[in-house]
Amino acid sequence: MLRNKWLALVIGLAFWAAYFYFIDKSIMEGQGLPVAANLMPK
Amino acid sequence: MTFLRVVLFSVAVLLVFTGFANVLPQIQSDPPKEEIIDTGSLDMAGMISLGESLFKGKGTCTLCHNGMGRAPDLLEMNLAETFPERLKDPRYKGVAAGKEGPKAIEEYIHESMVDPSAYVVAGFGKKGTNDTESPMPTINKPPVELNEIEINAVIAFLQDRAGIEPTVPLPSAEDVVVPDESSSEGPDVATTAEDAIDKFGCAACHDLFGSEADTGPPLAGIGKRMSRGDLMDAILYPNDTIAEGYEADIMPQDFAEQMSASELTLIVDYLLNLPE
Amino acid sequence: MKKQTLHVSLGLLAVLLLVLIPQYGFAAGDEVAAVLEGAPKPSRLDYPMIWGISGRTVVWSMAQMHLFLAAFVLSVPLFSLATEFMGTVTGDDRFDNMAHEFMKISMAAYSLTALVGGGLTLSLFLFYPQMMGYMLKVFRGQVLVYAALFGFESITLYIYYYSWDALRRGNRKWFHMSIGLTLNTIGLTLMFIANAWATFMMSPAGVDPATGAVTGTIWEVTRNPLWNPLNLHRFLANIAYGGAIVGGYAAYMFLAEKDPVKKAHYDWMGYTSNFIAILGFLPLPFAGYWLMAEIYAYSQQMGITAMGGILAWLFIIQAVLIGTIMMAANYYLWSGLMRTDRGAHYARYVKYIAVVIVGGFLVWVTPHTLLLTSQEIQQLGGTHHKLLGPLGIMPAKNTAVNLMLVFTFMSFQMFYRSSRIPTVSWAKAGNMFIVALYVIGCINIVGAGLYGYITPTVYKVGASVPQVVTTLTIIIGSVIIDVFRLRGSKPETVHWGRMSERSQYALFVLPVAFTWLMGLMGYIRSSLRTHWHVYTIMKDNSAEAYIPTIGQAGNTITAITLGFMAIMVFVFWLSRLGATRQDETEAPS
Ligand code: HEC
Ligand code: HEC
Repeated sequence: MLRNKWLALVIGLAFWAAYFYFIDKSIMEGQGLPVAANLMPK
Repeated sequence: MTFLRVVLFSVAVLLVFTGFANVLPQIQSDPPKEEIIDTGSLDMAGMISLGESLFKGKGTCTLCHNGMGRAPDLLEMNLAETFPERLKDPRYKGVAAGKEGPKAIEEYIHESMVDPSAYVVAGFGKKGTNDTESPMPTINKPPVELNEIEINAVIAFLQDRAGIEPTVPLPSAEDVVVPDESSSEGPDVATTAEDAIDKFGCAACHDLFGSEADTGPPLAGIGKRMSRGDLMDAILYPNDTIAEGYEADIMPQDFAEQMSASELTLIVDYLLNLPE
Repeated sequence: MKKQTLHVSLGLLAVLLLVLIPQYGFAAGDEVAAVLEGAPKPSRLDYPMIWGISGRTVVWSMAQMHLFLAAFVLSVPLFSLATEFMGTVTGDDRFDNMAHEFMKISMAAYSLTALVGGGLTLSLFLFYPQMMGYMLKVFRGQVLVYAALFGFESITLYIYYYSWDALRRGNRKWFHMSIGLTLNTIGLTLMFIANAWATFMMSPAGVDPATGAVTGTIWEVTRNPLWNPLNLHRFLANIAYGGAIVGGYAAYMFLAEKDPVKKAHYDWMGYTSNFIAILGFLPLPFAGYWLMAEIYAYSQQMGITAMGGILAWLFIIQAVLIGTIMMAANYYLWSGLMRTDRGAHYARYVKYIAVVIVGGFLVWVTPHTLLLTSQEIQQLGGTHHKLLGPLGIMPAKNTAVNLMLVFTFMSFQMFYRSSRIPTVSWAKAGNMFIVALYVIGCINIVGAGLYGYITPTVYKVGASVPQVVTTLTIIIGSVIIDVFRLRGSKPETVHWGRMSERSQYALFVLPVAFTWLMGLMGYIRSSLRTHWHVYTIMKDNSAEAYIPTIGQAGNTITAITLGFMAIMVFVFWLSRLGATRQDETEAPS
């Protein structure tokens, strides 16, 4: 499995996407800025 | 040879930077002028104009109080509603708590300036203090250092904007501000009305001292048409009201920054007494 | 072995002592702390007029020149020691020779630093006697500690340099490195003390806010709110600066030398110095961010004056300079791909990186409002909100900066990969994992930028943090993976010296841009105090209390930079002169 580069790419994409989602969310919340949908301009 | 090339190259890089610095807008920031207030001749309208120029100039209020969301936008919001609301806010425990009316609002504004943390508008406190500490500087302390008369003028301005008849006292003769040594010998503060009008080149556009200039309206007999406060306003903020038959943006907009209060009073006194 | 431990511990002991002495230095004279008289209030006439010379310009030039030289002579021993250490660990003599050469270059600059420092002190006392009197009262005995440390610094420096060959091998080397450590400790302490003076003037502590009377200990005065942010900022900047200047020197030698062996040596030296410069440079924006945050925390008004007032435009110039530096560094790295045969494989990616870097640069330097008529400026007077415009598109700029940093790192990563052939079985898969990191990371940076763009101001600032974290994750993440990926890799020969002449000019851009940038930042830092000598405590009532326009400042900075370049040419020439004579005496034998 570790040898297939395309599989590694897919796993990598999924892994880093999850990682950054989690990090971003916790950073924003840590600053007291919850990520809420109603911020979008009308 | 290599040496020359390298030096020339480096100098060329330097010149690019220098050139760039020179094409940007060039603004020199002068230290605030010590205003010399001729207290005897200031009426309430004059106080309001003075307050406005302090608010936008020496007081540095607009640095924060603007549309950028750093502080309540005092120039845009509806002050007539805001101030009474603040007094009623249960979080408000300051000097004017439980009172209402113009005098209470005066006290509230005064307190906002000299003790900003006494009450912090929700959402505007220093980060992490949960709105218990205001980022606003204490206005009668350095670096802003407005004196009592100037603070009153700003209050008058804000009260006026809130649609209230200003309740602050007019400065009396005893309050005369002793000018700072450093500015009193400033070489270029005019001491007579003629000098002041000369200095600001009014006669280049208005028919003054027989100049017969007609870029701006004639000012003879203006005392009959305008009150003292309106006249001050017409000089400091020409675009607020445009004289009939003339265009905006021609008269310089920066007299509020250029003039000391004493010069302004000299000019206004002179114009008010101009015969028709 | 025992002997070696002894030497090392002796060295460490010396360092420890030196770390402690400044502690006492900071505390010295506390008994006489109660200097109850307030800050002087000089009137315009109290500022000496000397032949109509502009005192401020003299002091400005002297201070800036002193700072340039000091930054250089402080940073060179720092990475000289690091290089020496590398040499000892790897056993590669090239490092040691280079470290020695670094030192040689900075020796001549050292006495000039002291000379200009003396000139600065003199001109300060000449033109601003009242202010200096007050500063002396506030800092009391610390000035003497500074002078004493300066003496120590000179002694240690000379010992470090002249004992190089005597203490070159075996245990003695460790002893020599202890001397180097001592030297650097003293040097940094000197800088920290001087920083305390500068930051006290911006954010005074330990004095009575109303009168300026000294109420605190020297330590309280020293540890004012901006002291540590400035310490870190200058420390990093010094490393970058020293690296850039030595890189310029190496580039010049590369161009001037004909001998291929020497050319190879200087190519390698240029590469290493450039690496050091970039290493110091990459974290600088973050240190700058901290400094700015502390300025805001200390006084929001000062912060806004900096970022939104008339100084806002300066940050546009700063962006141009930093962009120039990044482009030059990248260009140099790309040219370096020629040194290996595998490099060509990577060279085809260069054009894409170039697009991102140049594009990012353009976004970064585009001011929000280019059209600022003189009338708009007049309306500004005290109100600055129109100029706050650039902040309005801050998210775009942040995005650009972070992408530029990411891609600069990518250039560097390509270079170090080009000289190694991985042998681990999962090399390709591992690479894909890194590719995924880059892809998602960049999407995240852009996404956070967009998010900041459409949300209110607080969010704009808030959204810049994930961007920075993403950049750091990409850099640290791929370094870690690469370390494992390149384990047991086959080294590819690097043909040092196989470099185009043009690439060397990139190495000249760096020191020139750095020098000018430092001058600019000095102007900003001093301007933050507006018309105060010591902010809110002691007013500047001199005729020159105004903040000069950007153009005037730029011209002054250019003049100072030219002066500094002349000095550097002289210094390099001196160090060459020494070498030339040596060759001639060697020749007959
Ligand atoms: C450094 C930024 C800053 C400056 C400069 C500044 N203010 Fe403020 N001001 C604030 C902030 C933030 C608030 C809201 C928090 C609070 O209530 O203290 C505020 C609140 C106020 C309030 C109360 C507003 C309300 O909605 O109740 C008044 C009145 C006021 N300022 C007047 C002034 C005046 C007059 C000046 C100039 C002489 C000035 N401010 C200068 C930041 C500033
Ligand atoms: C560049 C030409 C120019 C200069 C210089 C100038 N003004 Fe004016 N001024 C005008 C114009 C044009 C108007 C009419 C438009 C307006 O009301 O803004 C005007 C209007 C006025 C008015 C209002 C007249 C009215 O009937 O409503 C007053 C008062 C005045 N100026 C006073 C001054 C004084 C005092 C100075 C010198 C300090 C001065 N002006 C300098 C061009 C000038």
